[in-house]
Amino acid sequence: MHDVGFWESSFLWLDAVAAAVIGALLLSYLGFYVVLTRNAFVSAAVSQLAALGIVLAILLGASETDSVAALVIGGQRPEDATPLLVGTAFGILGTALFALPRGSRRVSTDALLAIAVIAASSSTLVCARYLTTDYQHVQAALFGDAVVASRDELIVLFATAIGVGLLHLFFRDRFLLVVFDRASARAQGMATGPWSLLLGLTVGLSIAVVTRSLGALPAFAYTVVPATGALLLTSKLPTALWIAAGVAVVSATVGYYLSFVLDLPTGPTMVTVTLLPLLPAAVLALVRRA
Amino acid sequence: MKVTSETSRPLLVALREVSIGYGRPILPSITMDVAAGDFVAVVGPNGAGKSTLLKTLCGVLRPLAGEVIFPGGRPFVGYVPQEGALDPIFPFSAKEVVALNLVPSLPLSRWLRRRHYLLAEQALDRMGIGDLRERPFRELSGGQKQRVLLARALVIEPRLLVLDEPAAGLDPVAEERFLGELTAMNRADDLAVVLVTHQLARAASVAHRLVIVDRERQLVRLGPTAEIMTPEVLSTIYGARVAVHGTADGLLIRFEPEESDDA
Repeated sequence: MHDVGFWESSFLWLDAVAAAVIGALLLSYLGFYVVLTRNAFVSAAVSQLAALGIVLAILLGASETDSVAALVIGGQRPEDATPLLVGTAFGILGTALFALPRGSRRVSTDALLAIAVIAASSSTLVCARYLTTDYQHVQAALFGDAVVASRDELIVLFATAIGVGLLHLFFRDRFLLVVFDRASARAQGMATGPWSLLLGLTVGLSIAVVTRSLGALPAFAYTVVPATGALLLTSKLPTALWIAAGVAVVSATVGYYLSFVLDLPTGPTMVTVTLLPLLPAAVLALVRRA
Repeated sequence: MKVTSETSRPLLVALREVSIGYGRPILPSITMDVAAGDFVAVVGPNGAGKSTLLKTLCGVLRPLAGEVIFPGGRPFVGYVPQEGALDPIFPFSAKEVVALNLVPSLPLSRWLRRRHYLLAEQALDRMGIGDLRERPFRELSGGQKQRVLLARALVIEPRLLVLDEPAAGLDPVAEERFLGELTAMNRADDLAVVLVTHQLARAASVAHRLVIVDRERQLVRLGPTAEIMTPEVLSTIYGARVAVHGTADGLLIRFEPEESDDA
């Protein structure tokens, strides 16, 4: 337990909670595309590909320093952000897998994403053997811990959420059409490839930014759990969006509060709170079906 | 390439030496036209390449070789996919499924508004299922889904309607009604219809022209229905003795086993 009360120490957690709420809201919305296209592994793929990108950038000399410790979070601006930027770009571009047309594939996108996760994880660990620094620093550079958030992190997260939000405000119907019925769109002459790619890039960018702020587990959870729970509860998309947004905000704030007062790890506590409504939702869905 | 119509009606789509398939050709190259008011049925056994041909014809798939030409510019194409092609995981109402098809015709800066949903409701009313507009699409029966998909294709007021086995999953009465509606629209609105089916006799009863494809036998045969639906032509196409009988209900086609040499 903490000696200082939760409300008295608001200066410590205000930015972190704001980051958690923004990240949770952003990913719980984009999570509908992830869940509806059955691409649950996209978050894991972004994280692992980003890690591989960082390691490769260092090994191939994209950075003048091999001290990835210089990148580590904690409110400090990295001295050389090249590996981190390369890694993030690697992760985002990896989501091209998510965006590729699905019509002629012999295997599902989820299987391809799982293979990407496996390949990136193993390659990263093999390549990390040749780093002169500890691989844990690579992970620390990539994955936030949700406990604290620097003002820079918050600004990047906020700007990403606004940018992605505006794109989806204007083009939501087009994104929905290309994931729901690509064939009908193409029959009308719509170029579905660029729209799929743009959607994939917004998902990849958002996951990369939220992962950097909140950590891999919360980012993974927010792309899958709120949307899944909401879709179990309702057959109407607008209602589902509101439910997912509610779950995201409540789990981010309550999770952070509980982690503070009970001295629990913040990210996993948020995830646990996110999961709580899932069980009654599943039971309700089963009862309805019966 | 300059394309001329074989009929006096405007040509909508022309396939010229088109090779179709996913990566490698699955059928011999195809040359065919679809003009306004045409009713073309594509028939063949399962896995024959019917759907691939249909998707290539309407621009869903790119041809491996040859050209798909839209002489008057790309017409509005209403596409009705096979039942089950749309993932039931999506939480869309019948009205939303119909309205989404209006999106490609919207200017880039616009999104669906109330008037688009009203158009969707009108299309559903036209199909006689206006009362299902708010029902989740995934909870509808097979016949209801097919009507929603037809409403969806018609909401854009197409000049060309392409349907991939639209009667699959329908009972005989519903199928008869569905094909009757298609025929009526084809006649009344000069709407070109290209229909994929594996029921030869049913196709012959509604279509002006037939395209018979068979991937296994590398066969493509096109022509007016009356010319194709003769015992001689069908026997050649299918490599079996075929009898064609005219009945009050339409054509009856019987594939008769070859007599054994031992008999």
